[in-house]
Amino acid sequence: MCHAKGHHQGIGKVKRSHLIGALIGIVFVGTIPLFIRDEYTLGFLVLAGIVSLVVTGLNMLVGHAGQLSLGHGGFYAIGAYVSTLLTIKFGFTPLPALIIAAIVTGLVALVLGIPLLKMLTQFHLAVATLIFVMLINALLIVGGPWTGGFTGIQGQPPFSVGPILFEGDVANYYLVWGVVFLGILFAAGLSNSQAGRILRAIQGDETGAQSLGIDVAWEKVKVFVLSAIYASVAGTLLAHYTGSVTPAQFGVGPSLEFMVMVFLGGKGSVIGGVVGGSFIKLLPQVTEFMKNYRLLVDGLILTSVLLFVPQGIVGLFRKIWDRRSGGQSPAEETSLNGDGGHPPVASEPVGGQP
Amino acid sequence: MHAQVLQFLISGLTLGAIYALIAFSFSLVFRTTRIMNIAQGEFSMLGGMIAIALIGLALPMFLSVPAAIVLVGLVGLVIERLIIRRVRTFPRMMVIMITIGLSMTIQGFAVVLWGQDSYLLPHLLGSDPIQVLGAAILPQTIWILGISGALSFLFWFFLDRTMLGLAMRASAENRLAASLVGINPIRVVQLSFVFGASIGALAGVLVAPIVFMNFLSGVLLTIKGIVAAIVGGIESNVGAVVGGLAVGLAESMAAGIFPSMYKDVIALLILLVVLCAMPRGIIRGSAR
Repeated sequence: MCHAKGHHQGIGKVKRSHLIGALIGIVFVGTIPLFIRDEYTLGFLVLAGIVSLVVTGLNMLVGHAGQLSLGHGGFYAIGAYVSTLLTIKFGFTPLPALIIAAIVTGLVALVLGIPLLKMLTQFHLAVATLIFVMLINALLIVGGPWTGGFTGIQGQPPFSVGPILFEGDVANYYLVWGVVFLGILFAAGLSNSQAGRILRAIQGDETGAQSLGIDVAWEKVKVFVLSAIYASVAGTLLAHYTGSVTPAQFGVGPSLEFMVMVFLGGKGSVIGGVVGGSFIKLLPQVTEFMKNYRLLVDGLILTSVLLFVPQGIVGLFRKIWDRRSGGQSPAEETSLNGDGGHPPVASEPVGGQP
Repeated sequence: MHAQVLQFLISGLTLGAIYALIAFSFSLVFRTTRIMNIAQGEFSMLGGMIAIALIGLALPMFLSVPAAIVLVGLVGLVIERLIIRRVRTFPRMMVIMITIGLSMTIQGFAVVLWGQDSYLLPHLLGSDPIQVLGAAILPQTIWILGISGALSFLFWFFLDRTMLGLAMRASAENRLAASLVGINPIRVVQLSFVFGASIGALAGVLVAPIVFMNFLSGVLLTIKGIVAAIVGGIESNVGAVVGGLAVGLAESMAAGIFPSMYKDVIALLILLVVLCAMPRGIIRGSAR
């Protein structure tokens, strides 16, 4: 398979163009609040950062481990509700609450992930995670005083680290995008590390990886747990930013939308999560007047991206960039096709044994 | 007490028959295309909603229901033509995601057309329950059990005894070999997709008088149908029926034992546990 082949460019060595790109990105994201003073828009950018964090984690699962989750809204919910309960009912401060919520989420993902990833196909995991998010949603609704039912819980304190209080849109903007930056750094580090190469080997050829002595199932479970923790942290940040959680924020709809963001941004690309997440999250800004069309637009975006631009926005730009700068080796060409797109030859039958 | 058990048994069988139809349509599409179609339950939602909308336009029941089924069959035809035919060589993950995209698109159209409200279809024939051994049976229950029973028999007959059915099964077993003996595999896929969509629509029309329908109803029907298909054994003909009835009975028994507010939680928990515990189903299909 071509997936595994094309990643021998610079292990540990970062390409100069990537470094420049990252610097431009940081300066751009970092200076936005200097230009945009309007609170409504800034609020949307904070929310865009929060979903970008979920999608960055999910993209590791999809892009590196080749697994589908339709239920990350469930982990997002656990992060939000656990930290809400800890801060409001048990008097914790937000930072320990965030950590405990992340641990709880990780354990739930572990319990869910072991039976699921060990013996089942991608399809089983997709269906099971879909059931999982519906189950979490149903639990939130019947949870009575613990979860507040349909109306949820309001009045979370703003996030704080020691004496530093993150109150208001600008502070939360820097908090959220700072965490997103750390999340991207970690994902990039993972992608370039041995663990990342193991994951790509699994995605390229599972049996082959197994025959090299890789514990395929366990590697997948680890990424599943890690991506759940990303969602949990995002959920905690959301709860303390908006000061309100309701079950509807974490249902099937948002979970599927995360997957739309993954594929729109670019499956397997480290910054794809931010690109796809921000794009979709800022879309209703433009199309707010047609709220009922939201689901239709999401569905059409997902279907047409998969059919026509399977490498996503990031992959598309990378392709254009490389074509313009020209003079690339054939090996890199393969890597571009294999990165997010379909393999040029139909080497894999569609569907499979359940 | 006995009457109560009988009541749960009947409602379990009724729901089970619906899940069996969806499971059957899912495994029919899977066996001919190897595509696990997560949009399968959306055909049921669409069938129910279209029938409700047509009756809203003052069309009589005996026209609305067949019209809804035919229209959804046409939707299936269009989807096969525009999408399914192109994705045959795509990686598996992409195909699963495309069916999710389709599912969202169909839901999206439903929201645009009918909004977010829930609707009920009038009962096919009368809504006064009949008393049998102390249990109340809705005429709709008899319709559901009768129609799905008859349909299962018809499909068994079609797949097992007619030339076209044999061609479909042959193509499902081995596409290349089937095309070598003169079977057109594209036609077979087209046919199974249209059949699958229509059976799904029929399930939707049958369930719409007893369960409220809205644009999201398809998701729950999909996962119940899929779990039923997987539990029953996706490669086997009777699997869908066994799996569907098992899921329906488990759901209604659990609803009888636990307080009714936990109904959804318990039903979903059962589905999740069953899927984890029996990923390969109870009935194994023809050895491969």
